[in-house]
Amino acid sequence: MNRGPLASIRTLEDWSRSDSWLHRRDPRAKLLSALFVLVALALMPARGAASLCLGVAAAFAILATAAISARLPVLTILARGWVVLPFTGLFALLAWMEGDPHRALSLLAKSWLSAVAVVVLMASTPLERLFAGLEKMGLPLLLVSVVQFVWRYLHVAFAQLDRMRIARAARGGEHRFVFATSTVAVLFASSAARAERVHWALLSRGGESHFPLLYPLRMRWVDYALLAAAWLSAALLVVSGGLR
Amino acid sequence: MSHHQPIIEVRGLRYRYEDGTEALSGIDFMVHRGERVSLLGANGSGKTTFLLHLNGILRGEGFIEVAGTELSKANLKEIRRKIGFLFQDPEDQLFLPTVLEDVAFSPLEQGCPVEEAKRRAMAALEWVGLAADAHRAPHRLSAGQRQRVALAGVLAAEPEILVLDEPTTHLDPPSRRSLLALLDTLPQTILLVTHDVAFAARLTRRAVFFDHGRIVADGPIQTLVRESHWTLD
Repeated sequence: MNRGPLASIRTLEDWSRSDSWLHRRDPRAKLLSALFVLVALALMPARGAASLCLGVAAAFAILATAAISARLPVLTILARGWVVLPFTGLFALLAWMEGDPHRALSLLAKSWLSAVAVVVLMASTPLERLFAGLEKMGLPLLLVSVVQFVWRYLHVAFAQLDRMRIARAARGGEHRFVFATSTVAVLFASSAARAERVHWALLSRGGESHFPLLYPLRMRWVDYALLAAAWLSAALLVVSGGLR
Repeated sequence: MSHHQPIIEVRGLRYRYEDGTEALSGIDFMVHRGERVSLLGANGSGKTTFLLHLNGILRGEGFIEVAGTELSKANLKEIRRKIGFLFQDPEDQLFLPTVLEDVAFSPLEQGCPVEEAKRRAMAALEWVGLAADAHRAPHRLSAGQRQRVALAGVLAAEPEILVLDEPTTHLDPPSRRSLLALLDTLPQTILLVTHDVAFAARLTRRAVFFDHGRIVADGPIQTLVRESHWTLD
């Protein structure tokens, strides 16, 4: 079934398989660029309302430019960033209740913009290239493999969850809490069984623990130019957020 | 190797599960190069457990030789190159983010250069009619397409033997027909585990019947299903 979180993931996948100047960049350059922006957002002082507005506007402009250069739907991408707000919203609420509305707003804006940066990265980089980039950048192979497996089998788990939900409805099940707890147990057990079968398949196909790269990566001058632009933008963000 | 020499020879294979239950009770089995054999029997009779011994996924007691190489821990990689395994649920087998990467997995693991691996993968995808879907994610395909991608992944490894574990379970009739047509053109030795007797009878002439971890019958599939009261629909 194509709805809920699965639909969002599929849309992200479709975007990542488009073609644009940003899509064609080396994933390492994009990963580092996104990291620069995330660090800059975290370090952005934003001491007063004006500096916060200026910093947010600068970050907004940088991310919108990236989204436009990747031919992504800017408004939808910006809307996707709101996904983090239920989590950071709680901390923002606490800050507000402590009498610090500026900090609350800063927290909300920074977390939203950080999420938008990650969405732009994922929407402009096919997952296999992202994993290849992470591996080349020295992220432990085990971690990359685990993330890759989780992403691949998330769809299978969601599909199973959907079947269980329909089965519960068909059997007239109403106890949501009981259903939720038993669902977790069943999903865990079936995932463990599937993990064993996937491991058998991996061994049968001659694999061990490492996925060979089908897409060799190469940094070109334009990738370095992207990195330099991202670094400068990040510096601009920190400076603009620090202005009074 | 001569066509008269067995490509798989198993003698006295025994296996117990961790709880002590005997799953295989002394299996003797032989298949010749190019032969196609169906493995029939009730659920839990030991068919899949037996197959998982052929490439060393499970290790019991007994003698196993595949394409002239005796199975041992030291030559598992070599044996696994010779046997291509198509699992019941293609979701278990397609673990990479795109179809092309998945099909190229085994050639790359065999040490093929990237371009050669891509060429073999694309040739296998062409053969199963899914070359146009090379850059799609496996979860975006139908069950029938996924099964064909899994088959392409097995064939890209260029195995001598194909082991098919209930390959029609998730397929609708058109996908089942399409799979049968594809398999029927293959020159490889085929071992097929299935409950789909009609499918088995179309693809293979010989069948062995498993019961409680033993082979209790071995012969022409038509005769065997009649004698064991497994109907051909």
